[in-house]
Amino acid sequence: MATSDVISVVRFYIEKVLKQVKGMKVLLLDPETTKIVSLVYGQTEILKHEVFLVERLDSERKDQLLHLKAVCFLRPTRENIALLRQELREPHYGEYSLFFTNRLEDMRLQDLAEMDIRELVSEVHEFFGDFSALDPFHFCIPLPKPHVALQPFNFQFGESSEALSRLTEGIASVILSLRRRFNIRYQRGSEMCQKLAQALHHLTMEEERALFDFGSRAADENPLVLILDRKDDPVTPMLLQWTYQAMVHELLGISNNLVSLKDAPGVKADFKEIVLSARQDEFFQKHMSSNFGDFALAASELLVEVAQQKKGQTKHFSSLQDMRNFLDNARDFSAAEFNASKHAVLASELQRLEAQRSLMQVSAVEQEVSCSNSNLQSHYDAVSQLVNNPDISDSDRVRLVGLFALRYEREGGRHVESLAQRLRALGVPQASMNGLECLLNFAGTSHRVGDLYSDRTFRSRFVTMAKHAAGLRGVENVYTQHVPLLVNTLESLIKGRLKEADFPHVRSMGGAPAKPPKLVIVFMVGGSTYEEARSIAELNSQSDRADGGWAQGLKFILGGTSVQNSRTFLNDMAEMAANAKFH
Amino acid sequence: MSGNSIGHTRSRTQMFLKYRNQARSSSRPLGLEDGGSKDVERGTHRLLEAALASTADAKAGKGASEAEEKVRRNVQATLAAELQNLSRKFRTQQRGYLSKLRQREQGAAGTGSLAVLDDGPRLRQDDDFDAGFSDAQVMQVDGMETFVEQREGKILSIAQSVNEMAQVMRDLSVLVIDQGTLLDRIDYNMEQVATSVEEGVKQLVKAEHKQKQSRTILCIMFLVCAVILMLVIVIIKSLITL
Repeated sequence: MATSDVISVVRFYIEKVLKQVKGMKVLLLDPETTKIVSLVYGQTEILKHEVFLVERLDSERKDQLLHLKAVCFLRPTRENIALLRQELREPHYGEYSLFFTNRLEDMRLQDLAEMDIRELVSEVHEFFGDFSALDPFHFCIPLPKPHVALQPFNFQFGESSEALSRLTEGIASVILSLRRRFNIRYQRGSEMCQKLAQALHHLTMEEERALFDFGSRAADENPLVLILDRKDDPVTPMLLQWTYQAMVHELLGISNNLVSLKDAPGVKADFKEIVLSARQDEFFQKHMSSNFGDFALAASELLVEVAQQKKGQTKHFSSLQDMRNFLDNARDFSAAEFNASKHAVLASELQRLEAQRSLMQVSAVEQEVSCSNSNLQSHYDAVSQLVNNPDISDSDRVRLVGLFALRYEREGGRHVESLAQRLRALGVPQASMNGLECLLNFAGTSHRVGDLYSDRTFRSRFVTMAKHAAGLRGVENVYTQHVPLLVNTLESLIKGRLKEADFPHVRSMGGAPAKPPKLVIVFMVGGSTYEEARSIAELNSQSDRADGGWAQGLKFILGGTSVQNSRTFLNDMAEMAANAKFH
Repeated sequence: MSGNSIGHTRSRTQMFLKYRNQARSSSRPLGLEDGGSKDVERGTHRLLEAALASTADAKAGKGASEAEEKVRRNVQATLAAELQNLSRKFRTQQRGYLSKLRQREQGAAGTGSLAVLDDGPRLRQDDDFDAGFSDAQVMQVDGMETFVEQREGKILSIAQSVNEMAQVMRDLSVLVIDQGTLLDRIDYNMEQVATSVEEGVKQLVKAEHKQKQSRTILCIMFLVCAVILMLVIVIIKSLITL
């Protein structure tokens, strides 16, 4: 099977675009395609393809550069078509090649053609790369307002409809870029999941059946798109993380593989904003899933190593050989030094935040409440203690109470209430309290389909009990014992245990496929998390090994409407709560 | 349809050209000014201007328009990177070639011209410890002296060229961007332009505001003058009729 690596696919598209048009070029992008391209292609790389200027289509461009050929890589939106018409009316460049990231309606194509009287457009194509490829098996279809994906349609119907069509188009483009026909399963009980699944089915099987037809194969062998709702696992985004990429996102925030350190004290100007991408950073590629202690140590070791190598490079040349060495290696060393410093700065900032907020204490309780056996009183005491601790920040308090409330929703009603009262007394803003309420109202037990705490079915309860009794729960690390619900869901899927009633197929005819799919795209409506992305990456690496277990020979890709951390997730909940007031 | 194994694409060019031809033949009013020939003239004019301007600016070292400045900087960066790579390749190849030559020469007589690069000519172990030199020895010494002078000159020129090259390398490294850093991000580079455009828009808005203000004041002045004028006329009229 061809590589199902989303970064390679988008790079393939961009390279094809740039190679197809020869000569000196200007690349015209819109706000979304700027993100799409910036994630997978560097400035130096693009220069190699003779792209000497990159501009936004919607920016004020007064200069005429008729000796440049314009290569437009745009989303096929109404705004872009209008801007293109404007551009063709008063062209800035000598020639235009149009590449749209998704299907362009005939009507809009006609609008464009009418405006092209000077015949400046030489070609028009659809290159289906309409998503942000964050990591090889992790993509994102960004929404202008991510919370819309979580709330019922009737809250903000207009926005929800737009979100639905954006997501349908986005997932369709992922499918087209992988050139396979997919089966579709979705999570029951989620309005957006159901609508999305049905819209996707309608698009691929009815409206544009020919476009999605990649040779006839038995429906059995088709890969699967599994559409899940974030609200079914509200615990994962709320937990503190201790592996490099997830930890940085939780404590600092990663946006389009960029991290801002402008609020961090004592950071040099060079590192105020840094790139955190495995694609061109060997250290990060190796350590993005490493635990805090491991990657911090590795970062300091790398810095020492580079410093030593640099010392070996004296600026005082005692021989020709020294001079030669310096000239050859100067650039490599400065780049290596910069990268090592970058990771050292990042690791030390994480360390500072950890100490400042006593995160290890908080995390220990979080993991206890979310993963270990049910123990209402002792967990309540642990949470209260931290809530009453003046050193703990408000955001951490809110999270602890939220996690406790989700776990003991039924049995601990009074305990939850007393904790909530304590929060209010401490002056936690009302918006946060509403967010918590929303959490229970929309992501509470009654709304969830999945077995979040492994206590729904007799089987799962038995298994957890057995594991505990046999001490098989040899947790290496108390802080990383949590396993996202997603992993269990996927295991059930592959082993054929995912109930049709809870996760129905969308299909026009025939029964359920007998064999499990070899490729699964999981789309998390409401946002994925880096913890889940890490689990997926682990499963994918397991699949290549002989002892891969149930994931042997399978590939998984994760996508979402955003990448959540506790702050963004609770913000989304608060937004939802604000909208809920009117309904 | 594409023939790729991954990354499906679809061409809309045919359909586009069809619509374009239709549009031309149906001669629908398109809200454009007069025909193409003037555009062609204008276009070629602009092209020539642009070409002349960029060569003139390149000599004058001035930045023409912002976009052209960006283009020039990007071209510089690409060329600088290429130059660095090529010079590295050249040096490694040259070194390899020289070492091969040296091996060959040492394998032969051992007194090849490249023996110059080694630690200097070895003085032959002579048995005679005469106080003076024989004629042959004097010639030898002279020869060696000139040889040493030449060598000194060559070493100095090598050192100089190496220094120059180090300077060039340092200059180049400023132009070249390290891959994987923030400066290598396309969106970061575009943002820089956008913020300056935003600033420009802010200034324009301010200026427009001020202009509007001055326009209002002008109106007021004009009206006041008109009122005064009317008053004067009324007064004069009443004076005349008296």
